[in-house]
Amino acid sequence: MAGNGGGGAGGGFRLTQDTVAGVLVIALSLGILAVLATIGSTKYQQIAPDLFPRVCAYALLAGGGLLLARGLIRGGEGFEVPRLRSLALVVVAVVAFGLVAPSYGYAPAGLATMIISGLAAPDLRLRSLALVTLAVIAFSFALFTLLLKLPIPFLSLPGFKL
Amino acid sequence: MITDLLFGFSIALSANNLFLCLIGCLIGTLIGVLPGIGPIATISILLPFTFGISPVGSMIMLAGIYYGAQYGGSTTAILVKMPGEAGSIVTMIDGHAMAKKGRAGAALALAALGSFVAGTIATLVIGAFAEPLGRVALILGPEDYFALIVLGLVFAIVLAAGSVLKAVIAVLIGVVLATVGTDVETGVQRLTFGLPSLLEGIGVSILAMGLFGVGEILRNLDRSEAQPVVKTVIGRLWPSLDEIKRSVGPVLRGTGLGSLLGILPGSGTLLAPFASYVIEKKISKTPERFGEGAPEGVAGPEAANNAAAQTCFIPLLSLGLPPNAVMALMLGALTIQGIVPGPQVFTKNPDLFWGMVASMWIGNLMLLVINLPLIGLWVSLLKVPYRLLYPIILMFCCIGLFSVNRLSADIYFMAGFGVLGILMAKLGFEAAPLLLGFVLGDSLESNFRRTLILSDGDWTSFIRSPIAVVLLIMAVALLAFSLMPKIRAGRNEVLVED
Repeated sequence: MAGNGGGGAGGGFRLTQDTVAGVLVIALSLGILAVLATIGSTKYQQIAPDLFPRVCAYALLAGGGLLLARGLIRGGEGFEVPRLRSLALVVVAVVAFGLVAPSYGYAPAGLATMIISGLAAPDLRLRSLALVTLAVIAFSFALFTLLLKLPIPFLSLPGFKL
Repeated sequence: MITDLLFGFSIALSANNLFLCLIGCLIGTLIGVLPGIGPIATISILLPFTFGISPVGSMIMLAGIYYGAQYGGSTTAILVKMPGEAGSIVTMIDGHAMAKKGRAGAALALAALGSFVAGTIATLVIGAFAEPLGRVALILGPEDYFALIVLGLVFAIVLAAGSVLKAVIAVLIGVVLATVGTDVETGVQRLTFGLPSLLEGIGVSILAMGLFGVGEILRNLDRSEAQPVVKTVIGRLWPSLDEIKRSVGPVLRGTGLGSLLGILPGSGTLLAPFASYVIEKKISKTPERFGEGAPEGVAGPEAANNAAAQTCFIPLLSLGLPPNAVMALMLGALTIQGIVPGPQVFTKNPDLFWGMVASMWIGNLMLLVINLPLIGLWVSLLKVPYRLLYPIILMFCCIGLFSVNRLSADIYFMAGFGVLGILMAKLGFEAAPLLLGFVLGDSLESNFRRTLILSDGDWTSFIRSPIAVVLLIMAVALLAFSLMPKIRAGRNEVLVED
């Protein structure tokens, strides 16, 4: 944690959870309102399709404003940036599945996902990760393809499909 | 009710449904025991796999996961002072103290027996009260339903941990996410950014898996806490006569309390054990024993926890209102199966309702029979290091989601919601109110629109019905009440998870 204490009182400016959240929520609500502004409504539409999300976006805007004000006035808990290494590796692992699975099946996609995401562990042991990955992929073939008969290929290569 | 229950047993006792109930209970216990994965994440991951199962079967299995997790959570709470599930935090206090005195086996047995008794009584409560409540729902107009959903969301906000304002914002984000996609009434695309994969809206499994599956992994990797070490000797399983005598009252009181709190929207399963513990300590002639291994401190909260985990199905099935995030996922599962939860379930799908009610009793019996002899096995699972566990969970999330539509876009959105999950945690937001807002968003909007259409656009129509007025006043009062400093302090003390 970046520590507690007053936001503005004494010391320099410090990013608190509330200020960061307030700014993000305000940006989100303004973005939603901007996108909703592109929806055209006709006089035949008694209740415009953008009315309800618009009401919610205004409420969000107000909530974001309150949060920002609270953060600036009262301070509160400091904002701590997530560990970028584990975040990036997990996201890349999931995206890799999305890229590989449609063309090559879920076995190579799962292999990539497990190995890449496994690298994010602070106490990584590559050998045991590789062994577990192979065992889990064999288990998933039995579970998903043989038992549950999922409609996605296990392995798909030119001229070969399982 | 007896005839209906017998009908339910005839459905729940079919070989297929019994098998699904067993699978649900086993998976539930497993994830209740394992740290870093809770019932919300598990149900999200398994949601796509239930599409091929009958609606009754899928609900029986998912329900088994939910109450099975309550059992599993108490095992680790007692043995290693680590609640696998938030509802077991209270059990940990006296349960672990009993374990340190060499009475771990007795504590586990009391927890299991208390849960079984509570589960049995709660099954009868569901059977008795869900249908009458469903009949009340039939007289509600769209403005009343709108107010009822608002009240439900306010309960979720008030009973969420942390800042009330942040919980309100999380609910609103969820509601806005529910409006993404093609508007069914006008055919207009809303917030789709021209992406074809968003035309039909965001799937509940994508959002839930992202927030609670991927998001939970990211949160755990960010914390990187030390794994617990199992040192406790389990000892003799059967509690002494004195321990059983001391537990009878707390179990019955806990069951009553849990049954009531479970029905209320919000964190019933989280609140019930705390309330039970406080009451038992208050009425005890020897309150100083609490915290030192009092059996009442295990039996009461466990009964309350399990009763609440079951009666929270009442508002879901009778009104179509999920009182917590797990029930929101159940609502999603039912909707995907083409079933609209609410009063019509009793007439259109009596097999689903009564089959599930009966399966809960069977599931509780299964858990009692399976869990006590298998305690050693469950505890040994704690030795699986998280560094090997989370890549497996992540891969299962991906396979499950991809198998539904075979769309890479779904996987990318899941990753995106995972990032949203960790960001929310870092900013002090809870993810559960967002999921509840998302699941109820559709219904909230359709009743909002129907009210305005029926009144020719008159906004005062929201406060014309006396029922709606009462519900909205309750919602406002509850929100105002939760903002009072004394209440807020007490709320934070009770509801902060982990």
